[in-house]
Amino acid sequence: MSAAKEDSRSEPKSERLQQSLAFLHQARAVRGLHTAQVERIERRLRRHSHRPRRLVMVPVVATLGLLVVAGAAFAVAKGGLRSLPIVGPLFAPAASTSDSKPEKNRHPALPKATVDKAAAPVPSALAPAPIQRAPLAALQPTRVIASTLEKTSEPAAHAVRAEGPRPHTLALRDPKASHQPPRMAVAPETPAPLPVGKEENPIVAESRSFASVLEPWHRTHNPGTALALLDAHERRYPSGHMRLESHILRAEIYLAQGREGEVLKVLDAIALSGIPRGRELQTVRGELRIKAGRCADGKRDLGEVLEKSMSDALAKRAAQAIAHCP
Amino acid sequence: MTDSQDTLDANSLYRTHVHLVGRWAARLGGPALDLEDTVHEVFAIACARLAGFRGDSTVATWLFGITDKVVRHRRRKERWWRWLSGSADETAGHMPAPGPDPLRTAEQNQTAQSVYRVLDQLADGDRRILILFELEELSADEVGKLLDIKPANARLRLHRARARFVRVYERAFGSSDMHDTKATSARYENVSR
Repeated sequence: MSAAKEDSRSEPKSERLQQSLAFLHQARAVRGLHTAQVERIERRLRRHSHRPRRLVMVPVVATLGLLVVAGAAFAVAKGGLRSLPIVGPLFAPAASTSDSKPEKNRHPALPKATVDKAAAPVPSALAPAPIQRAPLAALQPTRVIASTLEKTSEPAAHAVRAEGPRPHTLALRDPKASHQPPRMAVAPETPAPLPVGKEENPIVAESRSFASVLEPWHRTHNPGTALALLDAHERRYPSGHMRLESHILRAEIYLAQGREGEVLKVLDAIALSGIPRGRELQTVRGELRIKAGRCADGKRDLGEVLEKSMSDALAKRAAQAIAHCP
Repeated sequence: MTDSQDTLDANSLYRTHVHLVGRWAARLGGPALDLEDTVHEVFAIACARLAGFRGDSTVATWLFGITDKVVRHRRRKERWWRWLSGSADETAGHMPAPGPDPLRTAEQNQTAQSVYRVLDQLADGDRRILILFELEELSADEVGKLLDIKPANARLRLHRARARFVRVYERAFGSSDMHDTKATSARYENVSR
């Protein structure tokens, strides 16, 4: 039975094969080379023993190759491997990828920062999924402040990068740890000196000065030194373009020291709505306000946070903080 | 073909193999190929490389390798040109065919073209092995020698290539009504136009 089935299957198959091969065999009649063609080819071979057409391309390809090599060498000599087109970013260190941002994209006082959700770490201790009345002491806005500062202080950091490496991210600091004595007895440095005999753009000078505050803070996380440097910077530029950044840095340093009252005082003095990453800062301020018993103010901040989105990590934090209010 | 030693070798190579190479090129390239140019290119390359030929394989295998590569290169180029400016047939199809019986030649050409259109849908390896076995009517030993493979391997490749050809053929014409091959190729002509 099965043999019969196989026969019936293989029969049309072989029949199909026969048909297709018969179709293929129609092309057997082939035109060969005529005697005249053979002689013509022989004459052509005698005239051009090699293929000369390829030789035409050799100088062109060589010239192009030389141009590419010379261009690359010039680019390397002028500005290092990073200045090479296309492949240049491959040689850039990971921490300084934002170096390529054009200066014109930055606000002089408040640099434009893209909202990078991945770069805005939400403290895991603060983000339990269900909204419940957690103790207010659990609210630790340090990380948001830190990431916000990192984003908003781009021009200053830009000036620092030329001097030394910058830490990839700001570490979350435990406020309790800030009560410990400083890890390094670093003498407060003076903010970056102005170049001698050369008038510098005031905004650039201020950025450089602020960078000289920010860089040791990122490097050593020593609140005492950072505060001393920040005080010196603010004395030098009491009404500078980077006031907002210096306020946020001060808030961050205070938070690292666990001085939440003073953090709130600093943040209360800043109009947060409408500034880049203002939503994160509002979350922090709202949490602190609620923690300080100013539920109405805190709710106002957090309400604005919730207006923008109801589902992201900041919204969850805001909802969690509002749940503490009566 | 420049100095005396090379001239002798190249001349004998050319005279001995020109018709064979011409036939291979015509089979591999199909009717769309410029046969004279192709054969010229094959022998130009062969003459240039004659000094480096170490005799690891037979001269026929070596020449077949060159012919195959040149034809493939030309087919690729021809595909580009067809894409850019239409096929050679579209460009110069109205010109009278060479040869004593133009009508007969044109008919043969059309049939061959329809076969090669189906063949061109196969991979290069399948196409080559089918042409050598089915059109050139070589034995497995001869195909093995040309392609530098074992005869058993050549037969296996032929078996697989045939199966793929049947599939392509059925896809082109449908599986039911294919009994009259002449009618089939005529139908293919109409469809492809």
